[in-house]
Parts: sequence; C-alpha cells; structure tokens
Amino acid sequence: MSEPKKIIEISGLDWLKGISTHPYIPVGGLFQQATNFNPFNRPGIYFPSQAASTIGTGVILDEIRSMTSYVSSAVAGVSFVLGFSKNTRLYRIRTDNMSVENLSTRIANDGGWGSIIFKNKIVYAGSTTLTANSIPIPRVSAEVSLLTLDNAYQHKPHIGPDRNLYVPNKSNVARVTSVTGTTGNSASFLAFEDDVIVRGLSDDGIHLIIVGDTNSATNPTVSAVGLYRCFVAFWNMKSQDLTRIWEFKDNGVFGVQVVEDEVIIHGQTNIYTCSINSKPRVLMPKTNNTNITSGPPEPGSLVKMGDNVALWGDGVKNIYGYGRISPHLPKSFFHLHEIANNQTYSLFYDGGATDKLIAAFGSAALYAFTGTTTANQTSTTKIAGIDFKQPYEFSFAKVILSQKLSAGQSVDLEILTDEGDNTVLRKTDGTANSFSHTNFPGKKSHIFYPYPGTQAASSIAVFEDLSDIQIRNIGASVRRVEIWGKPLRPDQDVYK
Amino acid sequence: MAESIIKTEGVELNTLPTESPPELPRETLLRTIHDYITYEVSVTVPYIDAEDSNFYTIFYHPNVKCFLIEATCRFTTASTSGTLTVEKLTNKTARGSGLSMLASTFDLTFAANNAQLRGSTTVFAASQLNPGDCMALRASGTLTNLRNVCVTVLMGVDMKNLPMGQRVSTVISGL
Repeated sequence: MSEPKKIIEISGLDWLKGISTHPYIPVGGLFQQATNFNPFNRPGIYFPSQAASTIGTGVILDEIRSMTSYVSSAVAGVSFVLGFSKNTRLYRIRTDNMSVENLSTRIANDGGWGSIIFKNKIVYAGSTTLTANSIPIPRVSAEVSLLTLDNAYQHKPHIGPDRNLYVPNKSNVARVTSVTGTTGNSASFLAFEDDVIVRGLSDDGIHLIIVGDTNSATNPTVSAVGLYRCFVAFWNMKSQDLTRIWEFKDNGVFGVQVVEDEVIIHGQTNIYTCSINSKPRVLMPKTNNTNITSGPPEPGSLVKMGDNVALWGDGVKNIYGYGRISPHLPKSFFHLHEIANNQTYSLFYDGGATDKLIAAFGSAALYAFTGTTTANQTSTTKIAGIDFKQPYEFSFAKVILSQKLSAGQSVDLEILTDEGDNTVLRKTDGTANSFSHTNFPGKKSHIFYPYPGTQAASSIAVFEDLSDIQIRNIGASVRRVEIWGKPLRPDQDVYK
Repeated sequence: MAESIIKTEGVELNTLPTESPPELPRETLLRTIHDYITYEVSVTVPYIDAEDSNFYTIFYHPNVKCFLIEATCRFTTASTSGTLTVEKLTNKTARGSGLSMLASTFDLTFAANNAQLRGSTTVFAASQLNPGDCMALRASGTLTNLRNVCVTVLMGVDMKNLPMGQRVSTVISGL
C-alpha cells in the first residue's frame, strides 16, 4: 500500500492569484469562485472581506448614483460624502458615525450622472446639465450652471492631466475651465463622429484616455446582440489628432480605469487591458464564463482603492477588483463583495485610516463595509479544475490557520470531481467533520478525513482530476490548505 | 516525508502580470516618445509702424498640422486704447476675418515693457492649424503712441506629423 502524498498545497502567494479566466483550468488566476475575498486585506492569508452593515435606512429614498467626499469646515476632522441620485436627490453621509441626511431641498439640478470636486466646488452632472455648487452645500441655492449637455447616460466628469475638467457628452468631450459660469467652457471641445458615444474618461498622467463605441443603445440596456466599433483613445488635449486610437470589436464599452501602466476597459463581452503602446487584449472574458457575472458596471461604481487597485460593481450584485497594493505582489483579479439580490449603482472608497467602502445598491440600499465591523463574513472559494495526470485515492485534507478559531468562525471543505457530478469529500458544513469553533474550540489546524457516515451514490474516492475544491470560510484566517492522496497505478480506469 | 507532486505554483497560473505586452515597432514608438514637441514663432511690429493696423500682418504659414499653446506680448510704449490678438486664417480667409486663437485679447494700454500671457482659445478648432492655414496679428481700436510690439507664440506639433522629407508631389513635379 503506497503512502499518501501531498498533491495540492494552496498557501502564501497562491491566495493572491485571484479569479481564473476559465473554470476548467487555472489560467490567469487560481479560483473559479472567490466571493467576499480581498486578497490584499492580509496578503498571504485567506481571510474574508469586511462584513456589510446597512446605513441610511428610512432616509435613502432611491439609488445613489455618484459619491464624492469633502472635509467639513464646520465639524473639525470629519469628512462627509455627498451622494446624488437620479431624481434630483442629494444625501450626505457623515463618515465618522455613518449617519445619513437627506439634503435634496438644497439642490435644483440633478447630480446622478457623476460628481467631482473641482476648483473648490462640487461639480455634478445631470442628464443635460452640468452644475457647480459650494462646499458644503448651502441651505440657500448657490448652483451655477456650467454647461448644457446632450442627453446621454454617461456624463461622469474627470480632471485631465492639464488640470481642466472633462465630461463625456455623447459624441463629444466637454471641457470645463471655469466653475463660475459658462464662459470658457465648451460642451463639444473634442468632437468625434456623430455615431460615436463617449462612455468614459480617465488619464495616464500625460493623456486623457477616452473610451466609446458606436452602439446607439443607452447603457446599461445596451443591446447584447451584435458587434460595434469600440475604441480607446489617448489624447494630449492640445492637438486635433489623437495620439493613439485603438479600435476593437465588442458589443459596447461601459467605462475605463487605470491600474499602474495598464488601462482597463470594461466591455460587454470582455474586460480588456491595454496601454498607449499595446493594443487591447482580453484580461477577463465575460461571455460564457461562469467565473464572473457579465453585467455592465454603472459609471458611479468605477472607483479606485488606493492608486493601484480598481474596483467596480458589475451592475448585478457583485463588487470586483483588479490590481495590487504593492509592486512586490502580483496583480490579482478578485471578488471583493457579494450582496444578495441587488444591483451595484455606485461606490465610494475611503482610503483613510478606517478603510471604509460605501456601496449604493438597488432598492435604495446603502451599505458600509468598515474595518471596525466585527461580524464574521462568509467567503467561498472554489479552485479551478486541476488535472493530476494519474489516478489517486483521496486520503485527507488539512487546513492550517494563522490564528486559532474564535466564536462563530469555521472552515469547511467540499471536494468534487467529474465537473461536480461525483463527491470525493462530502461537504463538511454542519457535520461533526466541520472545522468550526463549536466543534473544535481553540484549534489551529484540522484534518478532514473522508466522512465515515452514509455515503451518497455519487461518492467516489478515486480520481484523476478535481473539478471543484471548495473552501467555505467564515471569519477564519487560513494560512494553508493541503490535499493528500495515494497514487494508484496509472493503468487503472476510473468508473462512476 | 511526503513529496509534493503538484503545488499550484507548478500549474499555469496567473501568467498575465508577468507577460510583457506586445508593443508597437520601435520606429513608431520613437516618433511618439514626446507625443508632441513645441517651438516658438515670433513677430515684431517695429517702432512707429505699430500705430498703423496695416502693419499687423500674416506671420506664420505652416506646412504641417500644428496648434497654438500660448502667446506672450510686450511693447515699449503703450497705446491710448486698443487690443491685439492672434487670428487663425483658413485657406481663402482674408486677414481680419479669422477666429481668434487666444483665450482673450492683449490689452494694448497695458503698462509698457510688461509681458502679457494668454492661453489658447476655448474654441478647440480655432487653436488648430492645418496646411494652408496661417496666423496673423489683428489689432483693434486706436493705436496712438503704440511702439515696438512683439508677439511670441508657443506652438506644438505632433511628432508623428513631422515630415520625413520633401512632399512626394513636389518631388514628382520637380518643384
């Protein structure tokens, strides 16, 4: 009888490998699923993301579409976040106690299409208006009209490297130099062909980066059928010629973000990466890929976590991220949060000491993910399929923590083969085999042997590949997961 | 001691961040290193000529696409009134009928020997010159006492628009 051998070990930098581009093989990442897992929270440790708490209940009346922060001049040391909806509503979130106020009576123009602080004013866009207002928003209206915009879905403003404010405006890019009136501002400073819709702006420090397409549908109801001319353009803001324009075919694009030297383009069928010197190529396919949902991100949900990590809501119920917190670590495509049955509308990341994320979802829901939240969050990771090249008989799996379990915490495994049709290790949740604080208080490692109870007809001990290695982690700090098996003679078929 | 047969490191994982993106040919990259380069064009209306608007004339007629970034102006004696701008004259447009290329005009009553700086116009197209277009000075108002007006324009040209040599058409026609 051969001795068991370690056939898989997931540890250290493996936890930073992120979502795989395909479920059947780990390529471009390790996991086919990794919900509620920020790999940069504790690099090298599998620790679930912060838990969410609902804020503003009863005050928030609709979906917040854009959020911008400012430091209060009235309350020392306190930052506020202004949240605009698309119904001429304005909410103010106080970040030290997360209380929410409805300030809608103080504005007459919409701001749900995008907002930003520019030249000591809050500038906000409606469907056809661009408005400047004082900070804090005064009780008596101080709104100043800056531009009349074309009716479009994307008007999210961006400050270009030349320190002027640019706004997507259907087939044009608007430029704002003055926040005291319309003089000096232009609604069509840079004009594209009539059939182009500019969807988003960013910059690489030198150029204004512009993405757009020729799909006449309005996001997010952009037609999912057909391919259209899409482009990412790099413009020096001086010349009538674009420094570079890369065209590609997709159903449509929804926005652009910059991560280090990479330009990330959110398309309908793919998420692309490119730079001024390299054409767009697929970072993550979204079509026919169960590893990632394919919803279009709302403009207000495209934010940065620090300088090098991009976050976005998928327009369904998920918040994804891509990047790294240090050049010494690999970039990771990760699934930061999942909120049940909702749609992500806007995000705000507070990079201050408290590491807060505020997320506005559908049904007028507003969540705060804060570092002080003590609730144990549930994260589920599932490794992409792995071919072992020879048959094995499962021996045991081992989980090693970096801190022993506390109350309410647990780690459970389930190992499947044959694309999930057969079970190698039964799901341990709620069984005597579960590595939970209830079962094993104060324990730092655990060995999962095949559960000796009644085996289902689909149970199998022998395998040549594992399609689903699922780890369900509630609040625990997992340092290492190992799977051990006994090698079998290669001339043995597997039936089941 | 059991031997690790497959650690996930051994499988093809996360190859993307370590891949160098395929870049453009070197010649193309060289011509966009600086994206665009700048140069200056200067024009002077000497001494007493500065009192006569007819001496404010066309002073730059480019062969390649270029654009105005900013302009400065100074004079040795101020006028009693009047303004001065740089105008863009497209092909067939007469002097005095073009679009101003500056965000605002120079004040000719400004203190003598003091520089004035103006950025480019907020009308983007008016800051761009194509082959066939030209730039001219346009003075307005009474120019009494004005002396020695000097305007210097900072221009930009995309590196990729710099000509590699003589135009093919002129070579063929032997001009």
